[in-house]
Amino acid sequence: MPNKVPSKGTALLMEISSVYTAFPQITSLNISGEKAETFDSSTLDGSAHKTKTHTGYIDTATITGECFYDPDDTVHAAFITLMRAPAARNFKVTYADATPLSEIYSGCGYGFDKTASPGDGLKGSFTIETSGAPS
Amino acid sequence: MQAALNLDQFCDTSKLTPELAELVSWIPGKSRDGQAVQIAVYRKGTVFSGPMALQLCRTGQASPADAECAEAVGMTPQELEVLRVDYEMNAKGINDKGDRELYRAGVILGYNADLSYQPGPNWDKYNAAKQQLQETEL
Repeated sequence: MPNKVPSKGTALLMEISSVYTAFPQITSLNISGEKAETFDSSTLDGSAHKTKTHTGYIDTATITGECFYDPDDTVHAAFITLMRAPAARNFKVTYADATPLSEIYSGCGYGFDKTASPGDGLKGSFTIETSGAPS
Repeated sequence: MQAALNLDQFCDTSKLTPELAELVSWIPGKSRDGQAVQIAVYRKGTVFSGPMALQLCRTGQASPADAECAEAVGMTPQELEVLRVDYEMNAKGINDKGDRELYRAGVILGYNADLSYQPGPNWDKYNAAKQQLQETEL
């Protein structure tokens, strides 16, 4: 039976020197965009309902999220360094359920925006474009 | 220069060198499609050497295991302890401000799968104090 697994306890881990390292102070995490691609295969002599066909490709997921940004934090600094000198890097997402889940995304494109506003803490907004199939 | 891991950490086997491969342990887990798989981890207490030791100390994942590493990190034991506890919370997904305070105070150890708290060493003391406060207010 499916369980209601809480969002609380979800963590994003970034591979640094083979060790998956927790991305600190995350306030939200979103993994979206993974989708089987289709094309419109309707023909003039087809039926009234349009048809769609699988292209054979799958759009990869993009990981986005927000965190409290700490300029002195080693992992935040490592992520920004990676953004400025991009290279393939694995990211792992863990959930608050009992059995460790292996869900690994290969990151290839990165973004990090910083926001300072009087009514809030210093915030960071990160984007990780992934490549290939998650494993 | 050496440092020892403060907690179990997942390992990316695609980045292993022969030296690091010797440090890896395997635990039961599940794949994305729910199949039982073995997951690579570095166990708590695993000792890393060289620049990696320094980097692991700076994230709070490890503590210096020799004087050379302690000197290179350049932090007091108190600063290292704060970093260690902060990292533990990040790894457990404890991001709520109130929950972080409870974790630091030893009231909780993390979350159960049903979102309830895992009681820490000060759980009973905290709840007794909370109850006493409620009774006083009434």
